[in-house]
Amino acid sequence: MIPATVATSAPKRRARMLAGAPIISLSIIAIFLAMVVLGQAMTLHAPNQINLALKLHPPALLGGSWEYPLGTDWLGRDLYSRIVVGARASFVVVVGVLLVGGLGGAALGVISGYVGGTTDALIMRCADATLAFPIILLAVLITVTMGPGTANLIIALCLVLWARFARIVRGQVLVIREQNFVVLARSSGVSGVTIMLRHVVPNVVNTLIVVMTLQIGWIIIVEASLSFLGAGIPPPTPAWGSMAARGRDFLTTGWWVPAVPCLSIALVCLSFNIVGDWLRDRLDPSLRGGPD
Amino acid sequence: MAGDEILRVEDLHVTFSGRGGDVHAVNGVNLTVRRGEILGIVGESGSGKSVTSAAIMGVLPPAPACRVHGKVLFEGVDLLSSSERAMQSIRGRQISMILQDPLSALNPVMKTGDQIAEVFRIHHGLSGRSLMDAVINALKRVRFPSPERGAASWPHQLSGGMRQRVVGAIALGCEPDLLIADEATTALDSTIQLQYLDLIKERQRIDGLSVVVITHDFGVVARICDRVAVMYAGKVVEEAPVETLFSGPRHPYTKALLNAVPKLNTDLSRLEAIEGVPPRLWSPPVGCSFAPRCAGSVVECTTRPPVPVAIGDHHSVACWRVAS
Amino acid sequence: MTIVVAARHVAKDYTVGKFPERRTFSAVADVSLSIGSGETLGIVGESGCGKSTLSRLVLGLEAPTRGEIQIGSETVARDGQLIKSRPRGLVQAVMQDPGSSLNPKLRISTIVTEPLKVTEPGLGRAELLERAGAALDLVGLDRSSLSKFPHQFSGGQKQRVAIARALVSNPRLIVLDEAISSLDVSVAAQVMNLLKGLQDRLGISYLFISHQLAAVMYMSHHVSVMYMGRIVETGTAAEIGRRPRHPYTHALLGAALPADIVQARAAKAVGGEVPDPLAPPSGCTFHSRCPRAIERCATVVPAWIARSPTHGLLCDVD
Repeated sequence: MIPATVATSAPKRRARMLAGAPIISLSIIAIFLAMVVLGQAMTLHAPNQINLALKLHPPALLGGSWEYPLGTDWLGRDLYSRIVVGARASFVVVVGVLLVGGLGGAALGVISGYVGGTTDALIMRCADATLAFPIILLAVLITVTMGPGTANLIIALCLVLWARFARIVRGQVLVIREQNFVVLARSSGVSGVTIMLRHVVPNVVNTLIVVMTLQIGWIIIVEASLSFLGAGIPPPTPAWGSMAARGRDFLTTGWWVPAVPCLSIALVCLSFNIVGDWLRDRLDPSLRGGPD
Repeated sequence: MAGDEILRVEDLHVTFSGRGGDVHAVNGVNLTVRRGEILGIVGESGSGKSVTSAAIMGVLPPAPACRVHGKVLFEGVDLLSSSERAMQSIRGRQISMILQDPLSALNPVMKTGDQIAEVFRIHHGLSGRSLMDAVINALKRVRFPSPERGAASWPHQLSGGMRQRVVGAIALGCEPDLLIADEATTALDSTIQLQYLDLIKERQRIDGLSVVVITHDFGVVARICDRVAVMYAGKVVEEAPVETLFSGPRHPYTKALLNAVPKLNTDLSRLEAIEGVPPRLWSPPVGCSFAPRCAGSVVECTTRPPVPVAIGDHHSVACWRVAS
Repeated sequence: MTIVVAARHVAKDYTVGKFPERRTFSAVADVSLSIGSGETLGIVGESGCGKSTLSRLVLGLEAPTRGEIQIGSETVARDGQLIKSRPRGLVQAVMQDPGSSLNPKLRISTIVTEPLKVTEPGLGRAELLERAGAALDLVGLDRSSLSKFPHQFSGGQKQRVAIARALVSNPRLIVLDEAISSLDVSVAAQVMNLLKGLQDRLGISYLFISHQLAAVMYMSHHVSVMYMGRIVETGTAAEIGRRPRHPYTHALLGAALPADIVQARAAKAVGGEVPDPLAPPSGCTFHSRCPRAIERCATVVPAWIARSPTHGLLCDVD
């Protein structure tokens, strides 16, 4: 009933795409990515350098010096530099889990949804089993049995996360499968694999991107929680979670020691969530405009 | 049969703010419906017919996404300037609407009888025994076979035709004065469609119901309408009593549209298709919207939009060629 | 006259429900048809008659439960199985909803060349584009459309793209499954004229499936009327339109609403509704609504009577 959208010129479309973008969140993500990429280059001091004379100095805005802008921890290490380097640890986990667990789960979801039948039933029962477990418990069990380390942490999170991706993607695929263009491809004799690659996958990519973005925050928090529990990235590698964990002993003497990593986690998580929500509204084919 | 006016639409304009600009869906529409009369509004997609009916019911999106100007006078009261509260008491009780898809019009997790009961509960405050009787009567009025069983059923258990009857029962439950049927029979099989149209005609005859029938199908118009308005690009291009429209259409679009419909049992080897593409609603042309597709446009057609001119008994046409 | 497609006593059963309430019903109970080269067979019927299932069977999307389907001289389905080496590209389809017929993520060139990648896999990119361009020429679309995306086109134009895709592999038969039902009247007229022109030019056959009786009569040389999974009458368009014999055909014609006051107001509704396919009436499935029914109709499935080489019906009271 309401008329279709209207054609626009290319520059106008790009402007429209960026309209309403959450600037603050995107900036926070940009800073986060800068920390990941630049790493040591962004630090002010060596992140692991112990200097007991400087222990528990407050952040610059609370009475300390700008040489240690976010203060120091109980071993005199620069908090800011540790945050910068710790970003990379979190990022590696995120990318690892998204690539293996996310893409792997999505692939299984495509196959499950398109092929159907016994294959679908099998994959979905496995997914249900995985989803039934409390996540942290499962991740802790895995890292405790397989030992600490980034690789094992990634594996643990993949095993937990793939089912979520598989389920969501499968739901989309069930709808896409009944679209005329898939039916027509089948009746033209196009093979199942080609249909999945040419027709199904491009139409789930948007959803996949949004789900991935929304999971980033969750992955960071779980990694932080596991590091907090001692089952994540082992010291001395700075990781935001373990920094918060070790720092909790100093809540009264130096509250910024656990607060700074916690705030960083919260800010980055929130930013990814906000951007994910925004992408979900934006990644719409009708965005490109109506009939020319 | 036809008495005074029950509905008068005056200079209605509806504009939607789209991603790329404004879409002028309705551009100055004037319509009247007399009491006890069935008016048909015919058009294709982009004609503005459904937007007009939504404007009458007051169910368009709010500003700034959608801007509405003009007047919709129902029993003398301007609906467009009425409060939402006032509109809520009018909808379902004095003006009702039925739409194309009966499946999405019914709540799948509510029993049929309960959905019909809602109108009575809201507008007449009925309950208990009198409520149940009202529901059964509403189903009887739409000739629903075994109304008691129907009331106890779930929507998914009913066929399309039966569901549409339930929708009709809800719409007509409080015996409204005006019914708006927007492509109400488009999704029904032809035999069921005929039964349903006869039902509407019966309500006109017995209850004096006034109806606005919105459709793309001239057959539906020929069957039950008393008067017809043809819409194109948000304007009424021709309006006439139904006999006049079919025996002597004057607007080029009306004529072309009638010729584009395949007819049973003619030996035509080619339909007369209308050349060109549907109208652009986002940048309306300076003159007549139909001019680019019109076989006989004159100079004036591209410079000024034509205004409706009365050319016969209740017959008006918006066309420069006809007016001259 | 070469036969392009032939179906002999084809049936398709489905089971619904879970144990222990599993029930079987026949979406297609017993259909035989044949389409000659360059001709259109129209299938008309109301919802639930099985015409959509029939189109899926002809397209090879599902195997018929019983019966045989031949394309050209090759048997492609028999004894409940699809023959795997079915020749591709000979039968293509155009469906009802142009919007979902084109993958919104792909360019028109990719969409239109898809059947060719199956039937002629050796073709190079330039050749593929040339063939796609030629197909667009046939349907009256500009070749610049090749680089565009579906959302840039109107419904009628999308349907033309769908027709171009169906044409590109030089098929012998195109199944038009409610192909004009979602289009505006004026656009539908353009598309029907286009299809007829292509048939004259290229000698393609069509299986034109629709619930719109007038469109079927306009497009088809022969018409088959379907009711509850069976063909109840077949004849030339003139025979069905002017000398219908089966009561259901009479009912359909009688219920049609032409754009004419006298005819529209003379239309008569046949009583009742289409019975539940899970509980079909015994004997002739139409007997409960038939004005001509006699006692026998409730118990005995009628036999096919051929009134002429082209005209036949399924009725014992004729």
